[in-house]
Amino acid sequence: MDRRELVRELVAVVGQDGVLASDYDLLLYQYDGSIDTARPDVVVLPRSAEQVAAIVRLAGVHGVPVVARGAGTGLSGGCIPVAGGILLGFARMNRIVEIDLPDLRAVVEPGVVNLHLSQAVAHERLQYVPDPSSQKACTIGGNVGENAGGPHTLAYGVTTNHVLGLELVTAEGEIVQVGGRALDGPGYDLTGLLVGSEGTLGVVTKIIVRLAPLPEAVKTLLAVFESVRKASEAVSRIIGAGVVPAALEMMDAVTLRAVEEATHFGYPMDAGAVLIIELEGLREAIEEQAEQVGALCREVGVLDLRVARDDRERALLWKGRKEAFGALGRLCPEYYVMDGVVPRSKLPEVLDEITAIAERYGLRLANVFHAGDGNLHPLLMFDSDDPTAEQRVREAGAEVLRVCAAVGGSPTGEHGIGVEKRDLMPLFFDDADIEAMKRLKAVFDPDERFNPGKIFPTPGACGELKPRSVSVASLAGGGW
Amino acid sequence: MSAATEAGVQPSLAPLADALGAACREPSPDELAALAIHGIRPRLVCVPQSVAEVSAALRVAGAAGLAIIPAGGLTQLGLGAPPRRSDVLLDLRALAAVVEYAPEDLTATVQAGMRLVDLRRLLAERGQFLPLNPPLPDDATVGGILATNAHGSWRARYGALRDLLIGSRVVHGDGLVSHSGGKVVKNVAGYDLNKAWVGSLGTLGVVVEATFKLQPLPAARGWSEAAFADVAAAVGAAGRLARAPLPYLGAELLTPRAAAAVGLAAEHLLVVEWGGPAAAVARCQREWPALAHAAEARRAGDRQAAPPTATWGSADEVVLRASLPLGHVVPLLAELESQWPAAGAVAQALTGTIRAAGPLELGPGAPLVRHLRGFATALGGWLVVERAPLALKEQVDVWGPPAGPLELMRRLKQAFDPAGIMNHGRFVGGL
Ligand SMILES: Cc1cc2nc3c(=O)[nH]c(=O)nc-3n(C[C@H](O)[C@H](O)[C@H](O)COP(=O)(O)OP(=O)(O)OC[C@H]3O[C@@H](n4cnc5c(N)ncnc54)[C@H](O)[C@@H]3O)c2cc1C
Repeated sequence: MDRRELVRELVAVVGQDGVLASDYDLLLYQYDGSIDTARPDVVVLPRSAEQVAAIVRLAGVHGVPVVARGAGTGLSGGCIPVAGGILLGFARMNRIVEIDLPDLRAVVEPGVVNLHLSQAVAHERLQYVPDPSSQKACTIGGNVGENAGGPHTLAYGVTTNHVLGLELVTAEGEIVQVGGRALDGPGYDLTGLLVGSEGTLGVVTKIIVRLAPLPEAVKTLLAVFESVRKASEAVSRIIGAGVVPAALEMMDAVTLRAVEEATHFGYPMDAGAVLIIELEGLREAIEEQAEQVGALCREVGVLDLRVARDDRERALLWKGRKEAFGALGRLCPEYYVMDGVVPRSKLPEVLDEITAIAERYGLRLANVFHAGDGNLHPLLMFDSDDPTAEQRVREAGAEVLRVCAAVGGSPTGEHGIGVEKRDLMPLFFDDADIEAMKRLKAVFDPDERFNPGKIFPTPGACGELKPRSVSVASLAGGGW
Repeated sequence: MSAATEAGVQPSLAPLADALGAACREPSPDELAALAIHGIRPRLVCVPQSVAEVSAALRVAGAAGLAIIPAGGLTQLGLGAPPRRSDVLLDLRALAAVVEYAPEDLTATVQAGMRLVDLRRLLAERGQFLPLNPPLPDDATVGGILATNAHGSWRARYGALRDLLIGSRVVHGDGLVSHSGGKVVKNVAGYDLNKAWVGSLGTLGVVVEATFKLQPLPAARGWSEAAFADVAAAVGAAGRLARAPLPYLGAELLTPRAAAAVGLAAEHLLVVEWGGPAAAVARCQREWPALAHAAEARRAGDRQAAPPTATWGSADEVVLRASLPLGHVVPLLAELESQWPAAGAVAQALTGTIRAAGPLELGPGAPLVRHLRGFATALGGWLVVERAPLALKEQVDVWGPPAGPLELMRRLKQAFDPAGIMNHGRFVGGL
């Protein structure tokens, strides 16, 4: 590749101020929220789909990879350009193109920050449902890339359930539309195949999403337990009883202490774990649900059951939850967040095993996660000045995922495979399953132009993690 | 498919019959009527007893160039363009086992030949259900429902199959057996290939196993209805409902002809189904008349049960299905009523899906379908011919323009079914 020539041609497409190529700039774009890093050859900030298409065609001519990047909050190295090439930043394609009230749809550019869309429709008593905890920063393009979830996706579904159509730049550099504002477009569900494909099948330049009414009433409970085990038993019972709250989140003692220091909400400092249980719907319905949930929690010996008194208290409760990773960042120089999913009935035993694994590897552990979905986020704290720490973290992480595999779970509920977990794919998928995915990859991107080095295990990998050198982006104080 | 087979030379069935042995038979004259599609009859019927047999069948058929028609409960076999050939009907009803039902996790994995009615019975014992109300649940199989993306009014509350299917095991057209997703309710590991199979009309291969996210049965259900002077008023009421955070399961709008066809008074009728705690349902029923009257209803009140719309439309009627963005339902319904007055229409008023059924003569039929399709497309929607006689299907494309580049869809078909044996030619763009 002739980098200087490439940069010249890119400048011709997007202008001088849309191309970043200095060492300093490239260094800033080598991170996301995970622990892998790699530098792009050049960063481009397009303003339109036409520019994206021209860039993709240039990449084809020069034979370099194209990696899309939203806000870089990903937790699996999704936007890390492991094979170098062009990093496409969407910071300038951040317009809400249309809010279509009659159809209950919005059309957005990929760089729109998740929360901004819900804010833009709140006065209509509408919302965009998927609400990742990073929603103040992450983009809807990145959410489409990872098929992001969030606390409230328990009842209402994840990103793929709310995305109905996309504008896409294909590997050939063409701008095409898939899906649309109406449901059930004839043909294969290309939209569904693209959501969650981690930027490996094409570059998304526009997104049609569903808007939904805000609930009439919300009741947020804080259930306090003496241990993680008790709290997870309560989760199993709630789901097993057929109660599906709008959100059902767990924080353990380590997390609670960190969060309390950051928010001063008044979380109980002697608790082993708490559940945040949010009920939404008609007033009548949530009263009944609240009673049911209360009774189920009492069955496993809840220590205290508090109800957020008003919107302010509710907001504070959620602030604590949504900023928990950041708060934990204050406790340690670095941390590693996992994303395994297990059947909800298996939560108690799996959480016990994870605690044992962390102890075995001598790592501090915190748990803050989407319990109602069985979507774990064990967070392992470490200090990379300790020469053995990083390797211990990776090995412990792999063991945790082996536990998830053993109970029929998944390695990732919302963060994606990325680079981070690609070599653990064989724990969950056999050769034929991977072959099927390769078929899909070849349909969209036969030359492997888009985001190479993601999702697929590296040749010869069979559920083992190879040591890599890591440098870490600590999220402490990151405003989330 | 090779040039020779396209040209009409019939490939030998022997390799397949040898490979599957007792699972294959020549169809009897009696059953041919049910198995023929627009007069095209299968030469062989195979009833695989295991996933391995499905895989073997497709591998052998691919090598021998045998055209395969996968089949479940035979309720929607006619959907799609007429098949170019039918060598083998692959009857999947022997694969009907429950693989794993985990009520405590609200998930179930079943084989695709299981009938929806049997699945419902199983789940109801534990107070749960697969929240899907497609037509003909007594016969329809899980695989058939998946292939045709069948659904009903409950989609408004719970989504459709693309939202409910969390894992699948499939046999590609070339015999490859793969799985994607899993049995946990949230999962982004690798590509979401489940999406490829929903609504793919068996053109990529065969779904053999499906895992679904389940729901608790609502504690109470109830219905409300209202009658309106015209389509616009009825849709207006539905629009208010769509913006209101009420626990509806779904809502159906019947045009006067459709209402009459199912034995109700001939008027523009909107029926809402509620589901949730009894107190919530009662409140919705109580407050419904006010909402409906604010939208100029002529009358509004409770209803005792769902209108029997699921199977309406007689066998010799033409059925068109349109999907519109929610705010664009009125013009299409109005156009339907004025251009095809003999038809009735039922709209899923909260999701924008419309089914219109009525007698349609061949002469004016094709131009009418084309006109309505153009109309729907201009409104940002789609229109497909769900049921029609062969003669009409020969004059007008069943599917119309696809919702994405045909070239990508063609490559997908080619990647999964390289020999082109699966329901070939029946899907969009002749795929
Ligand atoms: C504190 C914190 C809390 C979090 N909480 C949650 C949570 O609750 N739920 C959750 O799901 N995630 C969560 N995450 C992870 C992360 O925020 C999500 O994965 C988010 O969707 C990433 O968005 P992004 O804009 O940062 O994308 P990036 O990290 O920049 O990119 C993510 C992926 O999307 C691809 N991509 C980006 N833009 C495009 C495009 N235009 N076209 C094609 N592909 C594209 C990238 O190539 C990459 O593969 C959290 C992260 C942090 C740091």
